[in-house]
Amino acid sequence: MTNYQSGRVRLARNLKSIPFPSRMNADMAHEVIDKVWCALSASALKDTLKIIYSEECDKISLMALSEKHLISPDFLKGTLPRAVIISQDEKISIMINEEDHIRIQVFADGNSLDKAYDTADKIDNLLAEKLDIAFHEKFGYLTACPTNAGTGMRASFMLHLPALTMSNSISSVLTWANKLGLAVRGIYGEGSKAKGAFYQLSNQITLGATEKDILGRVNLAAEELLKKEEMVRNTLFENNRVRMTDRCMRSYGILTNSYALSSEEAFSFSSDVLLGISLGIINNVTPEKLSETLFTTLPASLAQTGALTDSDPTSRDVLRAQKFRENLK
Amino acid sequence: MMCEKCGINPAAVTLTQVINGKKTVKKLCVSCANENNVYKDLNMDLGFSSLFSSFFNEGERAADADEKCPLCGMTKGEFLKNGKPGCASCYETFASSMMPLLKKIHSTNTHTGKVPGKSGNASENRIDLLKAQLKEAIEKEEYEKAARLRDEIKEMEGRL
Repeated sequence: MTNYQSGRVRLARNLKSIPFPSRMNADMAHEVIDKVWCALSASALKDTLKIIYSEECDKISLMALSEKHLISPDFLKGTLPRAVIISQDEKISIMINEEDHIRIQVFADGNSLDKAYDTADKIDNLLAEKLDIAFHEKFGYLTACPTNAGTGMRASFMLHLPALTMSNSISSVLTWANKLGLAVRGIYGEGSKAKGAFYQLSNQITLGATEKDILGRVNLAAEELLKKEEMVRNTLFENNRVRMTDRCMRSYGILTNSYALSSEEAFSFSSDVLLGISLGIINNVTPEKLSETLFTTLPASLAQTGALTDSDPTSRDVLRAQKFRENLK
Repeated sequence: MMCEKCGINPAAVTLTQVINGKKTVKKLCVSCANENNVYKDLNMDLGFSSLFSSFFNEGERAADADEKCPLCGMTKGEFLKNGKPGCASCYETFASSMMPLLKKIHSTNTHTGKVPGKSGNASENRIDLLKAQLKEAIEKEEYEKAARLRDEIKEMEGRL
């Protein structure tokens, strides 16, 4: 079975002697950026990393980074000097002066978060060698919001759960996840809406459990959810073969034949096509190709390609439709 | 009559709005009326930004409201209002309120994970650290602290 999923691990860290971003001024913000960048430029990682300063970056480029999840929507909204350090392969991103001074984020390859955590852990150790990181013997790592204190770790998976969504089972998924100390929300994090049956599963509790426990729990829950999804998917398909085949093929038809496609439409039709691929209804496109097309045609990413003559949403929708036609046929 | 907004569908809903004493009447189709949903304009602050404040009781809020964090200058009153510390020092300064808050959020307030600079499961490291502190507390005859440390070590060893 094919499934679209992508995992990541995030560690929140702060410097001991500087107030958190909510209470600091521009000078302090610059100091944090300089200290973190200095610490990393002195490390073995330096050749693979680049830094992007919010003050030197235009809004569209920042939005494109956010669409790729390299920065968060909150990073975009902030007014303090911020920066993000990104690795060449875009698997690592380190946000500076978002809610916390430092947010190390590493994307996972494949089904397990363990390797991503190992990378984040190494970067964390490099920073701890050079910087005075805020840590309390009882409370653990000290973070701007007490909901992140302790390990400061958020481990998450982006999951595609179309059958659970179609069968109205998402509310029971939420209850189940809650009991395990996990949360399920929209893919752009806290407060974001679920788009086209894509969800983010992450740990809710960061204090009292070890990193290993949390990773294990999230890995296990993701596996379990995908199993449930497959079960419901197969049952739905058995009982509604014609309707589901029709829905997937219609969506494929729209994606490959439209002249203008909004990003909302792209999300919802791609979701159906991914479902169609996993059920063997659609065979001429891979899930990788589809998700790549979906995520590189979000508004700012499209604007960044320079192929747009104006920022009018209609011309964006036309270009998006063109990309889908080219990539999916 | 067609919908005044989209001009495509027949109008089915009359939307009357009074904004600043000025009345407007629009005839809309069902989908435009839904988009125009008046509930969306609620714009009410439900106080979620200060969600944690409900975790503290009145007595806690009244006591030492002027106590100040030496690093960032946040007062205890401010901290209790939104439950968010201003800096790392706030955790220690307002520890008496922080402890129950963390317990309510995470159902515990004792970290068992990584310690800076050391990878992997750090529970053992932490137990060593606590044992050293226990020894020191006993030497200094700080028995209350020693008892707390002893309980904590017991709890952590039980979990391993």
